[in-house]
Amino acid sequence: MTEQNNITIQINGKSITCKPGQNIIDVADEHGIYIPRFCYHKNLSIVANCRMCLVEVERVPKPLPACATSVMDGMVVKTNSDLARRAQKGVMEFLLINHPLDCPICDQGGECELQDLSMGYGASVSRFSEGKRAVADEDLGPLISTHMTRCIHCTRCVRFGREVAGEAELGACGRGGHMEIGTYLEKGVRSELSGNMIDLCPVGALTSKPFAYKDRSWRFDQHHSIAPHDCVGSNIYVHTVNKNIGKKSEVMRVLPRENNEVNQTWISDRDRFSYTALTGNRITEPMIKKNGTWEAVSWADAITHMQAILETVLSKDKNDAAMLLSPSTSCEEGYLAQKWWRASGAINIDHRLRWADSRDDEGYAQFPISDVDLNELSAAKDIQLIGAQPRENQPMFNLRIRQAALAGAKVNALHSHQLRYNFEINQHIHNPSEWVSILHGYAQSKGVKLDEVWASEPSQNILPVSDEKTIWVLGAEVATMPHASLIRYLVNTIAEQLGHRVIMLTDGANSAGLWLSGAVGHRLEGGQNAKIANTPVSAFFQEKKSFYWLHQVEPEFDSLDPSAALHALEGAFVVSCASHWSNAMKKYADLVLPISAYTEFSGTYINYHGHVQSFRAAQTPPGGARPGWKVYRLLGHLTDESQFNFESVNEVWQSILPKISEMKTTYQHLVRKIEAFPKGVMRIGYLHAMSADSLVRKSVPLQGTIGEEKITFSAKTAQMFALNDQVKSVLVSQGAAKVRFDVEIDNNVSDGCVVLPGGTATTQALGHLTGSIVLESADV
Amino acid sequence: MSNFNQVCFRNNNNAESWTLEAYQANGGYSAWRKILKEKTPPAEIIEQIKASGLRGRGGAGFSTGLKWSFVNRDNPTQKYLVCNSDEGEPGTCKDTLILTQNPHQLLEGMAICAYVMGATVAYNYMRGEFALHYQRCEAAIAEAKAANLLGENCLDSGVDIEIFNILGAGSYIVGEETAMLESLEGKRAMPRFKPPFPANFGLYGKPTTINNTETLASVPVILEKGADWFAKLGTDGSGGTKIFCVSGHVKKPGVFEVPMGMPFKDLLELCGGVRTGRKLKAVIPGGTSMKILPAEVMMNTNMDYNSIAASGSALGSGGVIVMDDSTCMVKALLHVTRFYEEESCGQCTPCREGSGWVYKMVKKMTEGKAQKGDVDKLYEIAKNIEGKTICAFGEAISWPVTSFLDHFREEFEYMVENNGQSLVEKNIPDAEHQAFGWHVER
Repeated sequence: MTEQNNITIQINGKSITCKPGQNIIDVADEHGIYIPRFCYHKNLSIVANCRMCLVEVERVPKPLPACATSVMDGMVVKTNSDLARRAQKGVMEFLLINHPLDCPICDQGGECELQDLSMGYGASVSRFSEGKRAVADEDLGPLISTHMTRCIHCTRCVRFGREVAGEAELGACGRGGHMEIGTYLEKGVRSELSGNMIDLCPVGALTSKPFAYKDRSWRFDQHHSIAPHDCVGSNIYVHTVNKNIGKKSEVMRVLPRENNEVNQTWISDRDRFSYTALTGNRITEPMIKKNGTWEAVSWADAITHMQAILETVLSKDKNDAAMLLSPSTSCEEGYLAQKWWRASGAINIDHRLRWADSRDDEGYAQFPISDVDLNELSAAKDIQLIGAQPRENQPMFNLRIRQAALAGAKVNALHSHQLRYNFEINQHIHNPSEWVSILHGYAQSKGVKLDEVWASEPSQNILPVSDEKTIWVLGAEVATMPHASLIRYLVNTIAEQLGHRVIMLTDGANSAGLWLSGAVGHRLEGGQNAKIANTPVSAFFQEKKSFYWLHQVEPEFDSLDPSAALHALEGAFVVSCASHWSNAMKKYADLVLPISAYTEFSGTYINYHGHVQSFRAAQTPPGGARPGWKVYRLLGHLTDESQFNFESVNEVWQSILPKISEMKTTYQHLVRKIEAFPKGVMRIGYLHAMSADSLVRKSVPLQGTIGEEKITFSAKTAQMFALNDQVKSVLVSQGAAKVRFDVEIDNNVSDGCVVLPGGTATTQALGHLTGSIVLESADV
Repeated sequence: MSNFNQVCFRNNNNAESWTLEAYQANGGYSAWRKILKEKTPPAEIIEQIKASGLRGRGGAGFSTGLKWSFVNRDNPTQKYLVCNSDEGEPGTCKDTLILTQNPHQLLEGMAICAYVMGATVAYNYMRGEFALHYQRCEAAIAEAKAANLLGENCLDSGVDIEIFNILGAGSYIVGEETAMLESLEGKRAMPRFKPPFPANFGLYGKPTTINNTETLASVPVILEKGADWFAKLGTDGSGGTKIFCVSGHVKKPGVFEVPMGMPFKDLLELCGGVRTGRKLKAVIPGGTSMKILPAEVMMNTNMDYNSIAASGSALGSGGVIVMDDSTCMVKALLHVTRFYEEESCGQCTPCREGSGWVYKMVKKMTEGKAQKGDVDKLYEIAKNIEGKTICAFGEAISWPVTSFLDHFREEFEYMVENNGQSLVEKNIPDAEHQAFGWHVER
């Protein structure tokens, strides 16, 4: 602390030392003196419009708002004097006159700030006998439900949109008592953080649509958990309710849990609403396919049967089986899975579902950790995004970049097409085939020494250089590029020599943890070298295996090349560990093992920065489903019982912990060979936020936020296929399949690229996400 | 009378008074030329303005010289001057005449003020209905710029001053100075919480001075004729002249620029007195947001800041609303409260909710639906608004209600008890009071 606590004020007779410039309300909060408030929120700007926090300050004739009044030395504040109380009660009366008395049917009832405060400051009988105001509701989309008659105009939602989410979607229309909060455009709210407005709303004006009328807050059990969708690891509360004794408890909703190191007070909509996919269509017992029909079997039968097949396969060729884990698998699951897998004699295991270039796998000391934490990112001066779509897939990470940008950081982006950012950014749009030469040019302009092989390589000087220590952000989408290792090499070399820092974003919540747990082919737990010649993950489906193990993975959506994946799976024995029938009961699966969804197991996630966060199960899995770590423990017992004697998930973690106690961040440069980039028009096939994992794909409300599926390319790219820029629809061919898509011509897509996100039902027939693509007109 | 129209309206009786030619023929721009030529130190000008006793004519009556001294001229950042020509106070129609008849004097005053505070950009914010005014002011700026009295390097002095005319979008609250800044920034006109005050954090966060049209238009004359001359026109504590807009039950309503401190009864005489056959009942001396005063108080009051304050109201904007004994005070208050119900910006709770409630209560009284105790309730609710809001709009709702009740409570009590029957109108033929249209359609 550089600032000293150097002034003294009095609140309600209590002498308090505080810092000059603090607001009365903050000082009072720190000292446990409650001042009622509605519009004030510590992470939003101060508007002092609700007037609920009026307090008496000695020698000032009028009551002053505690949220907007700075403390001054010797100030004497009274929060419960006659003047203050009269002011507060007066404001409460005004707030209540037009507020409907519908608490019994209001979703906010029981956790409503107005309801709570009216107990202390409201009168028992209203003096208002005139007609109450009624306000028409607006449809804000599938996530937020509105009851605008209840609005008390605190404008927290409005300020959240402008200040935090960076999208001024809500505002006030009308004056005086006719003022209404709304979008005016009536096109709904599209921010990826919109759900936070529900939390911010002190009354029942904005409530959760998926949670509407489901249950009452006072019946909930609150569990601490970690969101499973991005590599930031937002802290959440899971609220469950047990409706019938003896029945499984149900997840009612997910709310943010404050953690200033990670998600501050916010979470993304994906983290908040993906719980809606937990119920329905769950698998409750192991199932086996016999002669084309599914039969339930016992766990014991299922795994002995499976283990026998696996061992037969492996006895012929240990390279002939592959295991793919979801990148949101916990450390404990990943650790036991790889231990059992390797104990059975198999070598091919990975969680990096869309990792296209494995040539630098050995380069990372342990895993691609970054030493830049989120608070440092918020304070960055210069940020360079390479192939990143943080707003889409790491919303909380994007929020920190926005905070840095608002504080004056220069943000540049190198990407294949223009994206909608919510902060000031300089976007450099170039075909990915040029990225290497652009980074090369940057390295040259800054005098970075590269290997000799680079001397004759092309370079172009496009990225602006800065004297600040740049933070380089490699998007998870970079990993899907065929030359990803060259990009990683260049960025890491630049950073190392110039004292810059690198952040590598990854898919899922626990990629870092899975590297450390040994759930990658070339590494055992703690980063020890596996010393085996395994198949690189990008070739798991190219080289057809006889046995596939899928842990919460749907290759037709999740993998780099869906059509190749489906083709490979058809001829193999496939075991699917999944929580939902729709995940598992594919025509390719032969055995299905029911496992817990993310609220149903305890475990540990490690975020992109190496931040370790453990969480406990919030509910039990349905029926005979088991947490993944228990499944692998059971399987482990079939191999070497002594290695798998874990009593609890904590014991599993305790056996990983010593091996990862020291996280190493070094990157060794392994890539020497530079080869030409594949020719042809390239598909840019990232996964949309709402199709990024099996859980969000099943969440009906979240799926409702996706727009129409379209293919986007520039007019020049259209010419390459002899299409004109009026083309409305095209047939896309990648490999054998041809699929029709509606077209949006957008010259902000770099030429020679076609943006066509994967992970959807229509795109599963297509090939490689970043492969070459051919278009022909489908217009009639 | 010789002491009429000496300051803001000094030019108004000339043909085409709004032209540069007419203005200069009357001595216009001489103060500005002198300043540019002599490079008069700004501190000197501030001293003169202070000595003149000029106080803000927008309503609050704050010392103009003191206000000008708040902005630190040496602060290297951009500074702004804003002229508040959003004349919206009911009963007020003085700035309109300056803007249409004497725009150059306003421009000169703005130029001087901008020079004093070191601002290079000034905005003249007019209410949305001022179409002719806008055209006149635009033409005036064009003329002044062509003569290099404004613009870059005015008269080769090295002083740059750009003045822009802005038309509002029709809200009353934009006349509140910080709401005006919000509106200028392209946002919804809602008053800001103060502190910080505009002198530190004004337009676009820069130091800003905001003055009323009449205030700024007085400046050139003060500098031309001397602070002393100006101060002596008025009274101690209220220098110069004031424009009064007399409306209501007088024979000849009108706008008068007269010396400060003129007794009210003289002003009433200027308007030909109260309508024939009627007696003065009450007066709102400074626009509807000020407190109403009964006849006997007004007849013994002089029209200056201190005297009216001593009588229990305020000079406000100078909108003098005269009511004779045919006026039903309940219905008069209904008019006033309806205006504020309509014009509250809706930002803070007491005003947003209270303005509507107060209006609805008065309306109920006039409809005969009020209940016993409603008069006390009305008073309490109005009191609950006062002093609890972000801007002075809270007082603007509260003061009329409380002062009407303080002075004419029996009319409200009578109406509540007699199912909406007005105590006053009971004895007056229908035709007569209908002529004054105390009827509110909603």
